[in-house]
Amino acid sequence: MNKSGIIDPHLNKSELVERRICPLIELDETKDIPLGRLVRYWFSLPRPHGVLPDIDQIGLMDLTRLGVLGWFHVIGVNDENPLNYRYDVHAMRTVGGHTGIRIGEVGSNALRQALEQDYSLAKLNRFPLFQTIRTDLRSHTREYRRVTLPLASGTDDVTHLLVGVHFDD
Amino acid sequence: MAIISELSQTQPLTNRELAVIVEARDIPILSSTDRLQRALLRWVDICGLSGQFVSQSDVVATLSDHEFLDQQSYLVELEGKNPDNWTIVWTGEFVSFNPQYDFREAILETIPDDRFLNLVAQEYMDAVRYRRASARRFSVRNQSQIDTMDQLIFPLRDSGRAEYVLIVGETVTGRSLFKSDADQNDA
Repeated sequence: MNKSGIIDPHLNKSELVERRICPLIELDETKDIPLGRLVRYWFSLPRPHGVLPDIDQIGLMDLTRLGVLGWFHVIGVNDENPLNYRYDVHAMRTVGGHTGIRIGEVGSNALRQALEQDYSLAKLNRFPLFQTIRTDLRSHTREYRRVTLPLASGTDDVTHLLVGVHFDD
Repeated sequence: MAIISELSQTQPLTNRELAVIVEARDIPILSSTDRLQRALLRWVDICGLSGQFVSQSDVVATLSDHEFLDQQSYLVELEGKNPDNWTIVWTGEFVSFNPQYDFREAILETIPDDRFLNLVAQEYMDAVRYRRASARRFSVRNQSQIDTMDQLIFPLRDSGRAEYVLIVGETVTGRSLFKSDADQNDA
């Protein structure tokens, strides 16, 4: 098990983002039904340029049928610098409304550092990344699971991440 | 396109006509706007993705109460399978045609291609027949231009069992059933 937390001792003493990377086999499809469907969907997509599916193949109705409408992000990760990764679509049911903003613009230091690390890893991995996450921020406290799925755009390079999140009811 | 349609009534299909591609596909996630996502999310929350949404009172009033009607949406009553018998019941301010307008005429006035009309009609009928909402990107491509628009299609029925589809749409490129940003700014 790999468990890590980020505490900024100077600016955000009270903020904590704790993430645990889990093997995909630990994804409980009876508990996290939308995430299970999303991962299966990712594996089912055609790979026209190599090992990654293309983002163009993913449609709004696909994600609606999977039950993740309002619970997914699409992040553009073309830039070398993770701070310039950008929310092309931001999950509507989550806190924020961050469509269009860069990771570097995320207000919380702890959250920004966590996102920077996690999305860099997901880009590098080129394989679904499943995590359990606990955030204790000034604005909110949450526990949730997250799958991060790499996608390409006409080549086999990772250009986007499709991120599904699922909270406990 | 107007020339092509005119020719098609009197002559066999030419290469130019064959080169026109009319298609509908799921709306690509990367270009789906917040507005469309919110509208779809609201519909799914209230009505579910599949199922029958029955309005017990006036359909327009019901949709208005639930804030489904906005400037780029319209409501069509589907009487049978022939679009010649369909009526546009309500339109928002930034739709290219008016209420009570004959459906066929309204569509062809903007995109004069029978194949486009038939494709749109088929999608509307499918939504009603299978009682499921859908999100479609319609495009008409020829050698000189691409007309593309996104539509959410929501099926519903009133207490008298008349069938309707509510369309919430947006222009992507070219000619469209929805007014462009420039047109909206002029309004």
